[in-house]
Amino acid sequence: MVTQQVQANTGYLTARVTSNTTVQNAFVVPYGMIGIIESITVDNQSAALRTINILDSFTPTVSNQVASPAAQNPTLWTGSAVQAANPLRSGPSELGGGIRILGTCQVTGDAIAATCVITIKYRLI
Amino acid sequence: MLEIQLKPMIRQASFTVPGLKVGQYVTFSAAWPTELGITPGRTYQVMMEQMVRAPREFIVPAMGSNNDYVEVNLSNESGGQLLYPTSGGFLHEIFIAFKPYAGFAQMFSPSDQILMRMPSTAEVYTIGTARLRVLGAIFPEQSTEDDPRIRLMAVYRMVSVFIRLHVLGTPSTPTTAAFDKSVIVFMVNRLALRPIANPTPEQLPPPQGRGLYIPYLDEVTFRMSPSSLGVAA
Repeated sequence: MVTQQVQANTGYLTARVTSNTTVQNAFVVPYGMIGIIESITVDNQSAALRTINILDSFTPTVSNQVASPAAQNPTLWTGSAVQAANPLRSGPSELGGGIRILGTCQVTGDAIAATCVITIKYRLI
Repeated sequence: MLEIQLKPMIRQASFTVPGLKVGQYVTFSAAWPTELGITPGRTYQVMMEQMVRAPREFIVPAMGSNNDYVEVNLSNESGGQLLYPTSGGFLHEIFIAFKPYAGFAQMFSPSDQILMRMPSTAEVYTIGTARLRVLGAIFPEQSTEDDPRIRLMAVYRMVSVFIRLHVLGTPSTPTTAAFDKSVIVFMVNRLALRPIANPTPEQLPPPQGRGLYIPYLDEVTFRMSPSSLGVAA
Protein backbone atom coordinates (compact mmCIF):
# COMPACT_ATOMS: atom_id res chain seq x y z
CA MET A 1 0.00 0.00 0.00
CA VAL A 2 1.29 3.45 -0.88
CA THR A 3 -0.09 6.74 0.37
CA GLN A 4 1.20 10.21 -0.28
CA GLN A 5 0.41 13.60 1.16
CA VAL A 6 1.73 17.15 1.20
CA GLN A 7 2.53 18.63 4.58
CA ALA A 8 0.84 22.00 4.81
CA ASN A 9 3.04 25.10 4.67
CA THR A 10 6.35 23.23 4.76
CA GLY A 11 6.90 22.29 1.11
CA TYR A 12 7.68 18.75 2.26
CA LEU A 13 5.87 15.70 1.01
CA THR A 14 5.54 12.32 2.61
CA ALA A 15 5.08 8.87 1.14
CA ARG A 16 4.07 5.86 3.21
CA VAL A 17 4.50 2.25 2.18
CA THR A 18 4.32 -1.05 4.04
CA SER A 19 7.01 -3.68 3.98
CA ASN A 20 6.79 -5.91 0.92
CA THR A 21 9.17 -8.27 -0.85
CA THR A 22 8.13 -6.85 -4.20
CA VAL A 23 9.21 -3.34 -5.12
CA GLN A 24 6.83 -0.58 -3.95
CA ASN A 25 6.99 2.78 -5.72
CA ALA A 26 6.98 5.39 -2.97
CA PHE A 27 7.06 8.46 -5.23
CA VAL A 28 8.02 9.54 -8.73
CA VAL A 29 10.20 12.63 -9.23
CA PRO A 30 8.47 14.94 -11.76
CA TYR A 31 10.30 15.92 -14.96
CA GLY A 32 12.85 18.67 -14.46
CA MET A 33 13.07 18.16 -10.69
CA ILE A 34 15.19 16.29 -8.17
CA GLY A 35 13.85 14.57 -5.05
CA ILE A 36 15.65 15.01 -1.74
CA ILE A 37 14.75 12.54 1.03
CA GLU A 38 15.00 14.35 4.35
CA SER A 39 14.03 11.52 6.67
CA ILE A 40 13.05 7.86 6.71
CA THR A 41 11.01 6.31 9.51
CA VAL A 42 10.42 2.59 9.91
CA ASP A 43 7.60 1.84 12.36
CA ASN A 44 7.69 -1.90 12.83
CA GLN A 45 4.75 -3.24 14.86
CA SER A 46 5.35 -6.87 13.89
CA ALA A 47 7.24 -9.21 16.18
CA ALA A 48 10.11 -9.96 13.81
CA LEU A 49 13.08 -7.90 12.74
CA ARG A 50 12.40 -6.15 9.41
CA THR A 51 15.09 -4.98 6.95
CA ILE A 52 14.07 -2.21 4.58
CA ASN A 53 15.83 -0.97 1.43
CA ILE A 54 15.32 2.38 -0.33
CA LEU A 55 16.16 2.34 -4.04
CA ASP A 56 16.22 4.85 -6.91
CA SER A 57 15.02 3.62 -10.31
CA PHE A 58 16.00 5.61 -13.41
CA THR A 59 17.39 5.30 -16.92
CA PRO A 60 20.48 7.42 -17.68
CA THR A 61 20.72 9.75 -20.67
CA VAL A 62 22.67 8.63 -23.73
CA SER A 63 26.31 9.65 -23.25
CA ASN A 64 29.39 9.75 -25.43
CA GLN A 65 30.39 6.31 -24.14
CA VAL A 66 27.04 4.54 -23.76
CA ALA A 67 24.60 4.64 -26.68
CA SER A 68 21.89 2.53 -24.99
CA PRO A 69 22.09 2.98 -21.23
CA ALA A 70 20.60 0.26 -19.06
CA ALA A 71 18.01 1.05 -16.41
CA GLN A 72 19.51 1.48 -12.94
CA ASN A 73 18.07 0.92 -9.48
CA PRO A 74 20.82 1.32 -6.90
CA THR A 75 20.09 0.78 -3.20
CA LEU A 76 20.59 4.06 -1.39
CA TRP A 77 19.71 3.15 2.18
CA THR A 78 19.24 0.01 4.24
CA GLY A 79 17.86 -0.14 7.76
CA SER A 80 16.62 -2.79 10.18
CA ALA A 81 13.98 -2.28 12.81
CA VAL A 82 12.73 -4.48 15.60
CA GLN A 83 9.41 -4.04 17.33
CA ALA A 84 9.85 -1.18 19.72
CA ALA A 85 8.07 1.79 21.19
CA ASN A 86 10.35 4.11 19.26
CA PRO A 87 10.43 3.61 15.48
CA LEU A 88 13.75 3.64 13.60
CA ARG A 89 14.31 7.20 12.32
CA SER A 90 17.00 8.53 10.02
CA GLY A 91 17.03 12.29 9.65
CA PRO A 92 19.09 14.64 7.50
CA SER A 93 22.24 14.18 9.59
CA GLU A 94 22.12 10.38 9.33
CA LEU A 95 21.32 10.67 5.60
CA GLY A 96 24.31 12.87 4.88
CA GLY A 97 22.18 15.96 4.37
CA GLY A 98 19.59 14.18 2.27
CA ILE A 99 19.41 11.43 -0.34
CA ARG A 100 19.01 12.55 -3.96
CA ILE A 101 16.35 10.70 -5.94
CA LEU A 102 16.70 11.03 -9.71
CA GLY A 103 13.80 8.88 -10.95
CA THR A 104 11.39 6.78 -8.90
CA CYS A 105 11.91 6.16 -5.19
CA GLN A 106 11.24 2.50 -4.42
CA VAL A 107 11.03 0.47 -1.22
CA THR A 108 11.51 -3.22 -0.57
CA GLY A 109 11.39 -5.24 2.65
CA ASP A 110 12.51 -8.72 3.62
CA ALA A 111 8.89 -9.81 4.25
CA ILE A 112 5.32 -8.79 3.60
CA ALA A 113 4.19 -7.02 6.75
CA ALA A 114 1.26 -4.63 6.80
CA THR A 115 2.20 -3.61 10.34
CA CYS A 116 5.64 -2.37 9.28
CA VAL A 117 5.14 1.15 7.92
CA ILE A 118 7.88 3.09 6.17
CA THR A 119 7.39 6.86 6.03
CA ILE A 120 9.59 8.89 3.67
CA LYS A 121 9.68 12.65 4.04
CA TYR A 122 11.03 14.42 0.96
CA ARG A 123 11.04 17.63 -1.01
CA LEU A 124 11.40 18.47 -4.66
CA ILE A 125 13.89 20.99 -6.02
CA MET B 1 26.41 36.43 -28.62
CA LEU B 2 27.31 34.55 -25.45
CA GLU B 3 27.55 36.33 -22.13
CA ILE B 4 28.72 34.79 -18.86
CA GLN B 5 28.58 37.22 -15.95
CA LEU B 6 30.33 36.91 -12.63
CA LYS B 7 28.08 37.10 -9.60
CA PRO B 8 28.32 40.32 -7.58
CA MET B 9 29.40 40.17 -3.95
CA ILE B 10 25.98 41.46 -2.88
CA ARG B 11 23.09 40.19 -4.92
CA GLN B 12 19.91 42.13 -5.40
CA ALA B 13 16.81 40.38 -4.09
CA SER B 14 15.27 40.05 -7.53
CA PHE B 15 13.71 37.00 -9.10
CA THR B 16 12.89 38.61 -12.43
CA VAL B 17 14.85 37.46 -15.44
CA PRO B 18 16.23 40.64 -17.04
CA GLY B 19 15.21 40.02 -20.64
CA LEU B 20 14.78 42.46 -23.51
CA LYS B 21 11.40 44.21 -23.58
CA VAL B 22 9.07 45.50 -26.29
CA GLY B 23 10.26 48.82 -27.68
CA GLN B 24 13.95 48.27 -26.97
CA TYR B 25 16.53 48.40 -29.76
CA VAL B 26 19.22 45.90 -30.68
CA THR B 27 22.04 46.22 -33.22
CA PHE B 28 23.79 43.16 -34.65
CA SER B 29 27.51 43.51 -35.27
CA ALA B 30 28.79 43.42 -38.83
CA ALA B 31 30.50 40.09 -38.08
CA TRP B 32 27.25 38.08 -38.14
CA PRO B 33 26.86 35.80 -41.19
CA THR B 34 24.38 36.99 -43.80
CA GLU B 35 22.15 33.92 -44.17
CA LEU B 36 20.67 33.84 -40.66
CA GLY B 37 17.50 35.88 -41.20
CA ILE B 38 18.93 39.12 -39.82
CA THR B 39 21.04 41.75 -41.56
CA PRO B 40 24.54 42.17 -40.10
CA GLY B 41 25.17 45.66 -38.79
CA ARG B 42 21.47 46.59 -38.80
CA THR B 43 19.43 47.98 -35.91
CA TYR B 44 16.09 46.40 -34.99
CA GLN B 45 13.29 47.21 -32.58
CA VAL B 46 11.65 44.56 -30.39
CA MET B 47 7.97 44.37 -31.38
CA MET B 48 6.82 41.35 -29.35
CA GLU B 49 8.34 39.36 -26.53
CA GLN B 50 7.37 36.20 -24.69
CA MET B 51 9.43 34.51 -21.98
CA VAL B 52 9.15 30.71 -22.06
CA ARG B 53 10.60 28.51 -19.33
CA ALA B 54 11.91 25.26 -20.80
CA PRO B 55 13.53 22.91 -18.27
CA ARG B 56 15.46 19.89 -19.55
CA GLU B 57 16.82 17.02 -17.45
CA PHE B 58 19.72 14.70 -18.09
CA ILE B 59 20.89 11.79 -15.94
CA VAL B 60 24.62 11.94 -16.48
CA PRO B 61 27.14 9.18 -15.71
CA ALA B 62 30.17 10.14 -13.65
CA MET B 63 33.22 10.78 -15.80
CA GLY B 64 35.13 7.86 -14.31
CA SER B 65 38.00 6.43 -16.26
CA ASN B 66 35.98 6.47 -19.50
CA ASN B 67 35.67 10.27 -19.46
CA ASP B 68 31.90 9.99 -19.86
CA TYR B 69 29.75 13.06 -20.54
CA VAL B 70 26.38 14.03 -21.99
CA GLU B 71 26.28 16.55 -24.83
CA VAL B 72 23.25 18.80 -25.27
CA ASN B 73 22.66 20.53 -28.61
CA LEU B 74 20.63 23.71 -28.15
CA SER B 75 19.81 24.20 -31.85
CA ASN B 76 16.94 22.99 -34.01
CA GLU B 77 19.03 20.26 -35.62
CA SER B 78 17.86 16.66 -35.36
CA GLY B 79 18.32 15.61 -31.74
CA GLY B 80 18.65 19.21 -30.61
CA GLN B 81 16.63 20.95 -27.92
CA LEU B 82 14.79 23.15 -30.50
CA LEU B 83 15.56 26.41 -28.73
CA TYR B 84 16.39 28.50 -31.81
CA PRO B 85 13.92 30.58 -33.88
CA THR B 86 12.34 28.72 -36.80
CA SER B 87 12.33 31.70 -39.20
CA GLY B 88 14.13 34.96 -39.91
CA GLY B 89 13.28 38.20 -38.15
CA PHE B 90 13.25 36.60 -34.72
CA LEU B 91 15.80 36.62 -31.93
CA HIS B 92 15.87 34.20 -29.01
CA GLU B 93 17.50 35.55 -25.89
CA ILE B 94 18.25 32.30 -24.05
CA PHE B 95 19.08 32.45 -20.34
CA ILE B 96 20.76 29.27 -19.13
CA ALA B 97 20.50 28.22 -15.48
CA PHE B 98 21.25 25.05 -13.57
CA LYS B 99 19.76 23.25 -10.60
CA PRO B 100 22.39 21.96 -8.13
CA TYR B 101 24.26 18.85 -9.20
CA ALA B 102 27.67 17.36 -8.58
CA GLY B 103 29.42 18.42 -11.74
CA PHE B 104 30.07 21.18 -14.24
CA ALA B 105 29.43 22.16 -17.83
CA GLN B 106 31.52 23.22 -20.78
CA MET B 107 30.20 25.04 -23.84
CA PHE B 108 31.13 24.32 -27.44
CA SER B 109 30.25 25.74 -30.85
CA PRO B 110 30.40 23.84 -33.11
CA SER B 111 30.74 20.59 -31.19
CA ASP B 112 34.52 20.35 -31.51
CA GLN B 113 35.40 23.92 -30.55
CA ILE B 114 35.38 25.01 -26.91
CA LEU B 115 34.05 28.51 -26.30
CA MET B 116 35.91 29.41 -23.11
CA ARG B 117 39.66 28.94 -23.48
CA MET B 118 42.98 30.66 -23.05
CA PRO B 119 44.98 31.82 -26.09
CA SER B 120 47.75 29.23 -25.61
CA THR B 121 47.04 25.88 -27.28
CA ALA B 122 48.32 24.26 -24.07
CA GLU B 123 45.53 25.90 -22.05
CA VAL B 124 42.45 24.37 -23.62
CA TYR B 125 39.80 22.08 -22.11
CA THR B 126 41.07 18.50 -22.09
CA ILE B 127 38.82 15.98 -20.41
CA GLY B 128 41.64 13.57 -19.56
CA THR B 129 43.60 16.15 -17.56
CA ALA B 130 42.26 17.14 -14.14
CA ARG B 131 43.42 20.77 -14.40
CA LEU B 132 42.32 21.33 -17.97
CA ARG B 133 38.93 19.67 -17.75
CA VAL B 134 37.71 22.49 -15.49
CA LEU B 135 39.38 25.29 -17.49
CA GLY B 136 36.55 27.66 -18.38
CA ALA B 137 34.02 25.34 -16.72
CA ILE B 138 30.62 26.56 -15.58
CA PHE B 139 29.56 25.20 -12.20
CA PRO B 140 25.82 25.01 -11.38
CA GLU B 141 25.96 27.58 -8.60
CA GLN B 142 27.34 30.18 -11.03
CA SER B 143 24.00 30.49 -12.85
CA THR B 144 20.84 29.59 -10.99
CA GLU B 145 17.18 29.97 -11.94
CA ASP B 146 16.64 32.96 -9.66
CA ASP B 147 19.87 34.56 -10.86
CA PRO B 148 20.72 33.38 -14.40
CA ARG B 149 24.15 34.54 -15.49
CA ILE B 150 24.51 32.95 -18.91
CA ARG B 151 22.80 34.54 -21.90
CA LEU B 152 22.97 33.25 -25.45
CA MET B 153 21.55 35.21 -28.38
CA ALA B 154 20.30 32.82 -31.07
CA VAL B 155 18.88 33.58 -34.50
CA TYR B 156 17.50 31.42 -37.29
CA ARG B 157 19.98 28.81 -38.57
CA MET B 158 22.76 30.01 -36.27
CA VAL B 159 25.61 27.59 -35.73
CA SER B 160 24.78 24.98 -33.08
CA VAL B 161 25.85 25.63 -29.50
CA PHE B 162 26.47 22.61 -27.28
CA ILE B 163 26.55 22.21 -23.51
CA ARG B 164 28.65 19.29 -22.36
CA LEU B 165 27.61 18.00 -18.93
CA HIS B 166 30.10 16.31 -16.62
CA VAL B 167 29.41 14.64 -13.28
CA LEU B 168 32.08 14.26 -10.62
CA GLY B 169 30.03 12.16 -8.19
CA THR B 170 27.36 12.47 -5.54
CA PRO B 171 29.09 12.92 -2.19
CA SER B 172 25.97 12.68 -0.01
CA THR B 173 24.97 9.29 -1.39
CA PRO B 174 28.11 7.32 -2.18
CA THR B 175 26.21 4.33 -3.57
CA THR B 176 24.85 6.44 -6.44
CA ALA B 177 28.13 8.13 -7.25
CA ALA B 178 27.96 6.70 -10.75
CA PHE B 179 25.17 9.09 -11.81
CA ASP B 180 23.63 12.46 -11.06
CA LYS B 181 20.79 14.43 -12.60
CA SER B 182 21.58 17.75 -14.24
CA VAL B 183 18.54 19.96 -14.76
CA ILE B 184 19.15 22.88 -17.10
CA VAL B 185 16.46 25.55 -16.96
CA PHE B 186 16.36 27.44 -20.23
CA MET B 187 14.42 30.68 -20.12
CA VAL B 188 13.84 31.62 -23.74
CA ASN B 189 12.82 35.21 -24.41
CA ARG B 190 11.21 35.02 -27.87
CA LEU B 191 11.57 38.37 -29.64
CA ALA B 192 10.03 39.54 -32.92
CA LEU B 193 12.18 42.20 -34.59
CA ARG B 194 11.37 45.11 -36.91
CA PRO B 195 14.28 46.57 -38.90
CA ILE B 196 14.97 50.27 -38.44
CA ALA B 197 16.17 51.83 -41.72
CA ASN B 198 17.70 55.00 -40.28
CA PRO B 199 18.22 54.63 -36.53
CA THR B 200 18.57 57.78 -34.48
CA PRO B 201 21.64 58.08 -32.21
CA GLU B 202 19.39 57.28 -29.26
CA GLN B 203 18.43 53.92 -30.83
CA LEU B 204 22.04 52.87 -31.38
CA PRO B 205 24.18 51.02 -28.82
CA PRO B 206 26.47 52.92 -26.44
CA PRO B 207 28.24 55.29 -26.51
CA GLN B 208 25.74 57.07 -28.80
CA GLY B 209 22.49 55.54 -27.55
CA ARG B 210 20.93 52.99 -25.24
CA GLY B 211 20.35 50.08 -27.62
CA LEU B 212 21.92 46.66 -27.08
CA TYR B 213 24.92 45.69 -29.19
CA ILE B 214 24.90 41.99 -30.13
CA PRO B 215 28.34 40.70 -31.15
CA TYR B 216 28.72 37.41 -33.00
CA LEU B 217 29.82 34.29 -31.13
CA ASP B 218 33.25 34.37 -32.79
CA GLU B 219 33.84 37.89 -31.52
CA VAL B 220 33.09 37.27 -27.85
CA THR B 221 35.16 34.09 -27.83
CA PHE B 222 38.23 35.73 -29.45
CA ARG B 223 38.04 33.48 -32.51
CA MET B 224 38.20 36.34 -34.99
CA SER B 225 41.52 37.79 -36.07
CA PRO B 226 42.61 40.88 -34.11
CA SER B 227 42.67 42.96 -37.30
CA SER B 228 39.04 42.17 -38.12
CA LEU B 229 38.11 43.31 -34.62
CA GLY B 230 40.00 46.58 -35.13
CA VAL B 231 42.64 45.67 -32.56
CA ALA B 232 46.07 47.19 -33.21
CA ALA B 233 48.99 44.76 -33.37
